Amino acid sequence: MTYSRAILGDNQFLGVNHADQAKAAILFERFKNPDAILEVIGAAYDAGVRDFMFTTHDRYDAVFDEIRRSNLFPKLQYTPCIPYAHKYWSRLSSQSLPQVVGSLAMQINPLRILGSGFAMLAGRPNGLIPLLVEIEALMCKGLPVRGVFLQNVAFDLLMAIGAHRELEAFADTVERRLKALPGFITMNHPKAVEVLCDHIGMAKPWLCANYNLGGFRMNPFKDTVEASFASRRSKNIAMSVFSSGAAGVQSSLEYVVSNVGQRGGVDALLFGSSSSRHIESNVRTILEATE
Amino acid sequence: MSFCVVGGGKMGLSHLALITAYVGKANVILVERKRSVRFVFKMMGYKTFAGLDAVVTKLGKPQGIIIATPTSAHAVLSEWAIANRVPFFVEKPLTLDAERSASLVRQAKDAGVLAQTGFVMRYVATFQRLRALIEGGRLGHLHKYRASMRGNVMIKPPNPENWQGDFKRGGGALNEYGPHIIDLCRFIFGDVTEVTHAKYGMVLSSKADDWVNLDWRHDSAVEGSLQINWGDTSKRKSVIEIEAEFEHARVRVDNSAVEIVFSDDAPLDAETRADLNYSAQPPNVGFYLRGEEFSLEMEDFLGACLGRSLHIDPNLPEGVTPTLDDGYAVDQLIDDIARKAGLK
Repeated sequence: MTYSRAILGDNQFLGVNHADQAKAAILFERFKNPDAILEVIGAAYDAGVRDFMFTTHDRYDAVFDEIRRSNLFPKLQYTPCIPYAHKYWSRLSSQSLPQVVGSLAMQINPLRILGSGFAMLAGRPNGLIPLLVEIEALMCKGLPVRGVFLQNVAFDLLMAIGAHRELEAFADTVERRLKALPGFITMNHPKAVEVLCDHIGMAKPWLCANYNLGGFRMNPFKDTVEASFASRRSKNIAMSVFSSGAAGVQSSLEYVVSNVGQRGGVDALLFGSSSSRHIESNVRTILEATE
Repeated sequence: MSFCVVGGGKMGLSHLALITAYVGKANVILVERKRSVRFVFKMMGYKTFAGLDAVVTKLGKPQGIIIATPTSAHAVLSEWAIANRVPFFVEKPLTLDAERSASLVRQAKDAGVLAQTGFVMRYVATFQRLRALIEGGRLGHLHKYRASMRGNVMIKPPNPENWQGDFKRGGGALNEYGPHIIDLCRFIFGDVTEVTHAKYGMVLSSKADDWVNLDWRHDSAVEGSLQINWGDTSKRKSVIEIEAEFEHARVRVDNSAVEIVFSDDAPLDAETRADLNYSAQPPNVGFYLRGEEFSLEMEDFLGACLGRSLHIDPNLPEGVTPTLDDGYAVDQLIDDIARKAGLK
């Protein structure tokens, strides 16, 4: 199992825009309506997109209900990116870390927390991970799940504190229990390759990281991230492909597309747009690229 | 080498993870009173202690401490750092009492202890760009500005037990959002001379402000209006926006974008306009966790403690690092605003 080259992302649906907060606020309002989201996914599907990668925001509950009910987009594969960090991060202002974890685990099955609790007490905090992954993946029940990615806020944090057992437990849960591809979103691609491949021993993990002409959020440096992609030690999804300062949309996209495959190590491109027309033209450019 | 993070809550976790990426887990210690929190971090492989004195007894004096506790503990912990001659980073706001903050500034100066406050918004590239536009002078005289910080922290009535909904204990929009935007306005527009008007309102809270509007004047005679609101459900996360009116342009800045609209009669040629209009891309950082700004403030603090730069981007502006004096100035302004608005 692998990803198709063009993956539809969801920043537009949640009002995330790295360059324009005013536009972000308008999109946040517009996509409160599930039909508006379905329309954009439909345009991407018609253009040939077969993967949708999204954060587990409750905004999608109604969208997925409708997809299941009306059997829409039969060949589309889903990749939840977990956790939707904002909801947990804001809880941490008023609750301690153990309290937040405990209340989360109660959502799925109060009995399950016993096993995880014992694992914690026995010094295996990774025992909680399967539980947390399953809670987050609940919204995709009944939909074909291609993979489950750990959000960069969670992954980069776990990587920073050296929580290698927890990262392994995540990958293991996604592979064994959910029969899907585990993946990691990161803003520190070279460090992620080092930790996952050298320290944990994963073979070619799926990584999703910024890759763009302007070097936006390519840490520590644009050229080290490019080299890290090109090393082919990981399978790579390029994101923030249009965040390129003064460069135009077409040249930004062409730069990333020119690095697909052996040339630059880009396996797939994650992109989003709120406009059907832009989606169609972007998908055409991405799918026409040759390795 | 060892660094202590005091407080295992949200900001403590963020700082602890970030500094671990820079100095390694073996050199990071968590100090936290709650046993359950210490337990979690201990399982993650961190050395944990219930208090700073125990750290010194067991491991010797740390090279720096990061204070990320609830605000009420900031003063005592800062005083510990000063008395023990340990460099410290203290989260915003410095304290809940401007006089106590002034005393901390004096004590730290007398003892010659390095201190940094957690005004992280200064490190955001777009706000630094607005500051540079004012300093550069090419847009002409700055007339006035409007600034706002809005977010959706308060979307249901706060738990009466929780400090967040109690102004006296450091809760409310002015205490929570105020330090960020107040410091940012001082950073960009200079010191404030006088708060001329302030008003607050309660929407969901009963013991704290949910919004505060105010007007003030800077030493430069520039006048600014601020809106602080932590219960704006149209926002996905907190956003700061500033609109500044210059002689030759109107500039709108938020956390990620700078937009310059030149006035019709602006005496600036196309080349100058293009030069001024370049986008403000965030700098590269050694390790990214929640935003470049969080990495940069920790790079600043750790670098100052270690006596070598940890920045990897060669083009960072000078004079950004917030000091203890800035912490005091902001606390004094919060006090002025609270009195003017009738919160005190």
